Amino acid sequence: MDDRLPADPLRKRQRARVRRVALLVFLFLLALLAGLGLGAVAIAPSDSLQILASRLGLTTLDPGLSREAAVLLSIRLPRALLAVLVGGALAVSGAALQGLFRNPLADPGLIGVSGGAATAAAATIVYGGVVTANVPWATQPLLLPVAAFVGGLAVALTLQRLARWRGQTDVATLLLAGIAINAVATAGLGLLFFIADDQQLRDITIWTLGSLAGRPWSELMLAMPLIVLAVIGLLFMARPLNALLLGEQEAFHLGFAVERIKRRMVLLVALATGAAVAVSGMIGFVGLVVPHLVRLLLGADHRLVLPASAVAGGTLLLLADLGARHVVLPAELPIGILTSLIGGPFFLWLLLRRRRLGAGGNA
Amino acid sequence: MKRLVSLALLSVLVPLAARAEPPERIVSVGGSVTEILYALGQGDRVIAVDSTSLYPAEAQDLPQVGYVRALAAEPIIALEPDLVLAEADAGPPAVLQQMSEAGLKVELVPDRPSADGVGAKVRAVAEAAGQAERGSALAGGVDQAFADLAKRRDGLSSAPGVLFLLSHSGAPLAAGRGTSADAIIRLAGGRNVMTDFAGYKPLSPEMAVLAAPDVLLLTTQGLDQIGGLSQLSQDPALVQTPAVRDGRVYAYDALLLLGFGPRTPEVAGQLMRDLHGETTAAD
Amino acid sequence: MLEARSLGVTLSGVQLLSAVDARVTPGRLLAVLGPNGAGKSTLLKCLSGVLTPSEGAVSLDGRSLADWPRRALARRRAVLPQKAPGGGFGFTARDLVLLGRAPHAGNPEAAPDTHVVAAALEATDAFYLAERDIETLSGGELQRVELARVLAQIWEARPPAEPGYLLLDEPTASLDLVQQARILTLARRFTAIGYGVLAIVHDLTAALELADDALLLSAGRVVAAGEAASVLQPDVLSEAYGAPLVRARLEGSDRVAILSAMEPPSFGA
Repeated sequence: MDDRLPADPLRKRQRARVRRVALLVFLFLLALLAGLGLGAVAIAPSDSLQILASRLGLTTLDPGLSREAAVLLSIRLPRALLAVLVGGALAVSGAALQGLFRNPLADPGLIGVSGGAATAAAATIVYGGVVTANVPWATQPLLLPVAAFVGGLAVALTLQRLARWRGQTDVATLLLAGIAINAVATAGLGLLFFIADDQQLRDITIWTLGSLAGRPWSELMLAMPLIVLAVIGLLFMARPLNALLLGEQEAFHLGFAVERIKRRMVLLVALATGAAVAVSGMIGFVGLVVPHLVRLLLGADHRLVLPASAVAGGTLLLLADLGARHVVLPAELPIGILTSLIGGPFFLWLLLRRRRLGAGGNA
Repeated sequence: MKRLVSLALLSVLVPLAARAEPPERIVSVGGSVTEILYALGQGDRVIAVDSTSLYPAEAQDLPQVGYVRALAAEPIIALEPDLVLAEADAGPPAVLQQMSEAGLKVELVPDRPSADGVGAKVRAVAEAAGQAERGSALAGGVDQAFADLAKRRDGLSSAPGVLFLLSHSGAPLAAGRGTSADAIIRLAGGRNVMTDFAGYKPLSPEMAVLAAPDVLLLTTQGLDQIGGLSQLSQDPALVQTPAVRDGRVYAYDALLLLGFGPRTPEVAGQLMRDLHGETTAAD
Repeated sequence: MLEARSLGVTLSGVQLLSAVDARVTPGRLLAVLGPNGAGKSTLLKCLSGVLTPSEGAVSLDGRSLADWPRRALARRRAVLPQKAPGGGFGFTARDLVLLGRAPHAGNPEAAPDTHVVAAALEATDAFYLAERDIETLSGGELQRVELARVLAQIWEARPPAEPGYLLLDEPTASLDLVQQARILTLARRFTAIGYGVLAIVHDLTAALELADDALLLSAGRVVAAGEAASVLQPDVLSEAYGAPLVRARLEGSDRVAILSAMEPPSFGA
């Protein structure tokens, strides 16, 4: 009957999207400012500006502010940067995997990449002493992130090998193999828990709970290029990801080199997740929750979902870190506890919502 | 020439000047460090402690900065301490670095589980707290107590085999070489039966039977974890050891037994009495 | 011209197709018929390029499919899948159709996407659905939106440009009778614009009424090919389907239906 509607709804929707993107960016900036401006040490905004300006060589620093400068520049700044990087990496990885698997409940933790990284890190905590004793340049703080990264990558590569059959990567096999590898990784972690002595045990526990604290600039500089590279690479996957939502054959019909894209995407996700886990430990649910929130706000188009997830992931971790830093002063809570505390109930709500919608997606 | 002299003078004067004013606000990290600070009468200067600082009890009322190996820099900086005094394994290293960069004085004290290690630790803590004199008095007393202990140890004719079990969630761990448990056993004139490995390793039941310890040593916390003495005596492997058969199972507070602080000579002496009986141990 | 020559496909030792010739011609609707397992979908997969045949070759405008750049090929041929995409990602009908424009990304000569999407939705009588979440659409509505998507993909491939080809993989599988006929009628409409259309069809009456040409497959071989009216003969069909099929004149008109005349099994005691 009403074959034709005025173009108005489209424009209205676009305007709503623009407003929501602006809101996301605004929240991100707000969280960034809060992350830099709030903390146990009180620093006046004007002092913060002066410190940042002096760091950029615009003014000279008031010597009375040296303590504040150290807090801002060597504690809060790397931490905020890490929150943005790790949050962005995990959220974009999650969004990409959900698209790749056409399953809105996929997450980097699901295919074992995080598990592989965690197991490698725990092994370093327990056996790293053997390496550091024999390799002169290897130090524990350096060895741990490298091992975590290699562990994540190893799982990703193994997965691809397992799921490749007659030159095609079967996504269902990939997912199942990921779950199996995850189980193996969990068992490995359990074994290490068993072998570890009291102190190592505490170190592993703290690491698996995730934290953005106490990461020096040097480690940050190691992880940053990897994460930035991987995230940018994933952002370029928006179009093929959109097509993959229709199915692999359909993506092929639309002119995409599906095999190459799948392989590249799993590697990029491993790179981003491995590097993120390497510097922050296990921070759960970000990869699951953030892309969902973004889709609720902005729809399914990956050209919007991927960059918006990066921004929202950074925002979420900035805020979670802010919470982690303030609830148990003068100590700090591991941030992974907070994200899981928020993420778990959200996940349940998501499941219930899907059920209420008649389990709509046959995902 | 003149300049060289004044520089030399300065380098002498600066530490002196620093020493002239003992720190008033100390964040104490590590159970033994806190214990030593209190033993030196500096308890009222301690403004915050870590979660392993369980003795003396009043230390537990202070703000807690978290676990010794998982400190956070900014909250400690915000406490405005003029000294952060920590055991050598405190960390993460980057956090210590961040605190130094913010102008905090961070000092690590050496932590060797041995008789002279305790004296050295006491002296280092005292030095850092600007209480060198009290420190040498306390350390002297500790050294003397260890010397007395050594004399009593020399008079012993036998060294009973001891198995130390550390228990947290999961299977109990046996203490091997290089552990504080190994050190305290030897100080008390015992013989650690688990010398095939270093560190703490999960106890294999058959190994426990094979080692045939005369005495089973635990922490009270660990014994609670296992479910008390009655539960322990039902362990199919441990029940076959002379220790459980003869009821020679002893448990001590974890920090007291393994902390290697000023109370160590005393607890070592007590353990010696446990191992060798009142008559042999008492002079 | 989209053409398959003496195709043979063997997968895991099973011969799915052998010596099949097929030709999709611009401006004509080709109905591919045959019982289940005849090899209809395998033929379509070869024609779309998803499957590389073990023997024979598929060519578009005389050039082997393997030699076509992926995106250029995607701008010339589109495939309507058997199964419509699942929901759960919050796509609207418009978003879905926009996906069809992927091979045109970055091409300055392509028509503006918003324009094509709207026009394609209109061409399949689905414009009024544009802002609906695809999860809320009925099977018939969703299939028309999908048809708009594949149409948008090859939108520019119509005269005077090189013509585009639409391959419809059992577009009618899960639809009721009226919706099935509607999709085929729309496909028929596209041939009038100049597209070449291939459709796998089960409704033999609809094939007879709407298709220009027909290709009847059975057990991986061509049983009959040519003009629809000549292929859709009861004796040929009956042999291919292994069941008696008859032509019946509809009461009060000169239209003809093709029906199964199989005896219903008796359930007596």
